[in-house]
Amino acid sequence: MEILRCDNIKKVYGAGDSRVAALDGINLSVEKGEFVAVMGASGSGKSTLLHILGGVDKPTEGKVMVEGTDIAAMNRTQAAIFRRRKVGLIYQFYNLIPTLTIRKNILMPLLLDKRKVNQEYFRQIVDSLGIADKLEALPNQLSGGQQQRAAIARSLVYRPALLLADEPTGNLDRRNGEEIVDLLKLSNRNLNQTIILITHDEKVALEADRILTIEDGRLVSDSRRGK
Amino acid sequence: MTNKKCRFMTAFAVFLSLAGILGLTALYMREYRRGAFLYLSAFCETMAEESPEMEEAVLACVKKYCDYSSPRSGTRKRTAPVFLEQYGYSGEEFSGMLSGDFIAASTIMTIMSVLGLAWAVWYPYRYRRARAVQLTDYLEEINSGGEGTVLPAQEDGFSHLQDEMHKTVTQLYRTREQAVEEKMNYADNLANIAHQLKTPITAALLSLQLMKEEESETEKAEYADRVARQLERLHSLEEALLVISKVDAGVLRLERKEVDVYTVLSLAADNLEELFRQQGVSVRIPDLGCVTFQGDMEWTMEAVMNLMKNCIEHSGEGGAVYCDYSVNPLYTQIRIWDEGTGFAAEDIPHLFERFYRGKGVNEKGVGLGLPLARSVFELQNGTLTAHNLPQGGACFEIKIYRHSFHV
Repeated sequence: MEILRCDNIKKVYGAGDSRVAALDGINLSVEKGEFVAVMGASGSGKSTLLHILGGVDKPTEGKVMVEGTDIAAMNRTQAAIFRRRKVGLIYQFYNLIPTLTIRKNILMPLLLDKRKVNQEYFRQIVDSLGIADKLEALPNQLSGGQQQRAAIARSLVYRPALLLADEPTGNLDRRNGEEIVDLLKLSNRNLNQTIILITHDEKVALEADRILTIEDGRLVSDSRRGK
Repeated sequence: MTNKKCRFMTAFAVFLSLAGILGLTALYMREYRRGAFLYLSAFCETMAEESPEMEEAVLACVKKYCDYSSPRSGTRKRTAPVFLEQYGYSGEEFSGMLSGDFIAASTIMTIMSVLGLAWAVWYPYRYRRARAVQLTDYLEEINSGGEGTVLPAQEDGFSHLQDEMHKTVTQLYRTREQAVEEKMNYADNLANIAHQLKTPITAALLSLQLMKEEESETEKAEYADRVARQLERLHSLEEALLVISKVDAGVLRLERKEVDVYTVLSLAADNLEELFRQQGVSVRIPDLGCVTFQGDMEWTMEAVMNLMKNCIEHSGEGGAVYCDYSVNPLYTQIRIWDEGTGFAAEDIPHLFERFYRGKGVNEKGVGLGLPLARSVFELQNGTLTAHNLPQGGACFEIKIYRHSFHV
């Protein structure tokens, strides 16, 4: 089942002579439950693509359909609700709120939406991510790997349609980085979570089912594991 | 809430607001009377001050008025015309409003408030009804096999319901796709099983036929051996199939007890001792202290044996199979590898597919050992992957998680 479709998305910054096309006609379709890695050098447009998929930024042209809704046509309020309910975002620098406990950080998407917490599911997530004993700590009391695991928990708590990860291992050592990739794979396999991961690390990308390569704002290759 | 209860609650609310209105009216009546009393008092005071000789008469009049209008006097009906009206004054002049206008204005206000109340009750009701109908139509379309029209995102009391419905429907589609896929796999598996049965049976039949025609005893014994080998192969196939069927049916019950990794690896190696010796392959299991996980000893050992057998096949005479294990807060990891040529690149994605047989695999294998091993680890919250080592050689990597997400 198709969960994401991009129709010829373009993103242009500036005008006239200083015109820069960060994305130049991206066409893409992602099925539910796929684990996709997007590779590309810095400046290739991969972060712009991720921001557009996450509803943080809007394309200059083209359609981005997530579960059949065009997010490029949303207003700001709608986009905020979309991000909260449909997208889980994981960043390189975790982006946890430093003054809130890990528990509150994880539950933030639900609290913003005034929803009740499903305690059983919450338990399952924090147990699986190995942060059950860190819930009352503040983010700066945790190691980088633990903070990133908390960020994964936050992104999963709403059971989003799409999980977008922007260089999630970029700030971690090899061992912690491997753990994070393992956990993403586990959530992909066990929760059937659709994941789009952006990386410039080939080793990380090889863990995905499908690898897209971006160069100068265009998709130059799309390869699936075993094909 | 049931319909009856809902109606009762609405009636109760209407009753409550009516009671409120009546109560308020009574309060204002009381306030009005107090005002009238103050006016009368002020009037009498002025009169008494203007002509003190009239004080007595005024007080007598007040007393008479009180007796006349007191609720205790029983009747408050005024039959005579209003006194001041005889001199040409009218109540309308004092209120600044004609009585006809007053009636019209109060009618309009009453209608306005009734309509307002009705609108306040009816409009949300109509909206909720429309949303309920929309969501029902959506589900109906899905149930009747439509391709799931997507509802526009709307922010209201129903949006969480809509969100959860959408997730459920997505899950449903996914399950349907999986079911179709599994059906295809089932057909493939059946074909594979038939094929796997056919080869030894044909070989055994051929050997039997040749044996009948053969005169010499030694040759006959040779054919009997061949038949026996084919039967053994059938036997092991049947055992593997039984286990696979149990895994598929979800009836393979695994224990969850503390399992020591070193013990499991050693037991598996002991069970394969003869094979190791035959092939001239050695096994190295380091003692890295107490590393444990929650799982089933027997089945883990079976799975590890399958992995070791695979490594033995890949190692030549004089080779070795290595093991290594570690633990972290998330999982216990076990690695088993050899120093052979490694997997063929095109085999790696299919290694754990049932009945898949890669290049250069010996004749005896049926392609069930590795899928079975993977199933055993998956049933224990684990994963099993395979890759080639940079220095050559095939490596199996097992990760058994302490906790794992479930749907």
